[in-house]
Amino acid sequence: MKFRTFKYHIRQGFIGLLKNRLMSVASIATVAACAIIFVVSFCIVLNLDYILEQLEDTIGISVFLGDDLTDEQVKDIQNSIEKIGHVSDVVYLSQKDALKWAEETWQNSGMLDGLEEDNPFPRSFDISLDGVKYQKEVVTELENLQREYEIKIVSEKAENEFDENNKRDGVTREEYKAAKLSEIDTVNYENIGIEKITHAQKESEVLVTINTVLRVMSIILIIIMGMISVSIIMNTIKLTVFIRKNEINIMKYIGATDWFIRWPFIVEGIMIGLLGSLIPCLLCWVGYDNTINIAYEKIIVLQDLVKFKTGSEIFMFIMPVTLFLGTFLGAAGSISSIRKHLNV
Amino acid sequence: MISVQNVSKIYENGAEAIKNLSLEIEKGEFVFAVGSSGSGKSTLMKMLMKEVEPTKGTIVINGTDITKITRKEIPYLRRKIGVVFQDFRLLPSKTVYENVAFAMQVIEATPREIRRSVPAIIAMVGLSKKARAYPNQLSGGEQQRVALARAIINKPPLLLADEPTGNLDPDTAWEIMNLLSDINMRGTTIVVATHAKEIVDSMKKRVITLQKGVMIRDIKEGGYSDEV
Repeated sequence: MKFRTFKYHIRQGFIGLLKNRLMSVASIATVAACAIIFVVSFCIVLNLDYILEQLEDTIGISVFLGDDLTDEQVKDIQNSIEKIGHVSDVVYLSQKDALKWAEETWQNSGMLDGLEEDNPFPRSFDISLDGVKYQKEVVTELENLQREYEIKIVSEKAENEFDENNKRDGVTREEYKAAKLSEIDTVNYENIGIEKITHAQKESEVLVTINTVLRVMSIILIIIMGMISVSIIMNTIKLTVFIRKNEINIMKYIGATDWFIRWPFIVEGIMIGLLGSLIPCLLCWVGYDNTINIAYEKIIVLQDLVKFKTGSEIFMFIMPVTLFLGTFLGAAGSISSIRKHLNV
Repeated sequence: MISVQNVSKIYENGAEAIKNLSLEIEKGEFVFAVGSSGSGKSTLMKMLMKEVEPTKGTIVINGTDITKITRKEIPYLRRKIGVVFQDFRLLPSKTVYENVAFAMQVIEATPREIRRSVPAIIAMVGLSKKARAYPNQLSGGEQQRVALARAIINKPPLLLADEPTGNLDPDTAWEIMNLLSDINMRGTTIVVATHAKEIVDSMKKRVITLQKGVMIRDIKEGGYSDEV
């Protein structure tokens, strides 16, 4: 297409938009209403997702270690945990770290006085995952690892404990070891290997469900809003095309190509879609920033509890998506509205 | 220039508008197509401008069989055919100048070409003083002159006029016919479908007479009164 023809189409598109001022304004307003519902819903979905992420971070897995483990064994366990799929981070907490954490949590309450000498907190690992939905899978792997270490340590212990008395009683080294291993499930060996694995299974399942529901809802929302917007834009363009039916006819008789006729209508549709999505985006951005500020100011406890996404974080994502959808749907609506009038 | 061979047209409702029509029109000819309402002359014009497809037969214009061209090629065919209608078909929101220039914009002529050609054509049809007027500010004859200017601005070798004087008084009708004659003198082939008996009789051009879809007469320098 030649540049002057491109300019001609743009100008004609704008002329069309201005000529049918009332219809254009009505269409832009209706598309804007759809866009507002779309944007607001997305703000809610993105924030809920963000809050869920924050909650997910608090729902990690803790692995408490027995006192008998050597530093090398601890390192070995850490390596094994890091190799488990979907484990994103493993943080080692020494007894000192654990005491420090407790002191920070129960500030100056006197509960922890004198514990430096005889620190009761076990060593542990704080494990973060790629997503809360992998928790069950990782916990199973950890339980296997726990079992493996129990067997290893009990075997070593049995090896060391086996002495002359046992020999005198006619028990072989292997028989003694097997007897000790068979006790694993019945005897509670405290402070052996991986002592305890804690995780919040119920909470994680609830979060996974909420997350899935939110995602499905947002997809349905996008489809519904898209369909409404397309039908509105199509109606507007159909009316414009109908009003300009004679013009299109004349254009066909004097040798205009289909695309030459289409372009001004496409420009018009794009402008309706673009304005109909840009205006609500800007309004919602301002409204969102104000709402978040007011929420933080009025509900002070909120500041510590959860964090909302900032306006720019949300709209730098939503705005291009909405503008693209508006433009695309505007163009698509125009093309499909004009099709039948081109058969002259 | 135009070769119509064994062309028939049956509409979807079963009406047979053209029956096995064959005719040849040479380059530079001026031809009247006459006949009463329903004789098939409008269908013939529509087929020549590729608005209606013949049910059978071939139509060759300037060496191109237009019954075989694709939808995409139609605009390029129409750029070589000027058309004038009884109801003028001007764009009411555009001035005389803009209506004529529009035909050049459609074929993507340069602004320079438009600025050079449009005033000359408007002057040729005698409307220089009304170049800025809108169609509703013009008389019927003036509107048809604008339509003529628009039809010939891209210098088509063929001009089709379907009842061009149907909405005009006799004097104005003569003016339009004289203009068509002028255009023909410059080498454009012209086919006019008309009811204007007096004009056809006086102009002594080739006359094709149709009756119920059949060509019953084809006379060089003929007249409407030759009609059976």
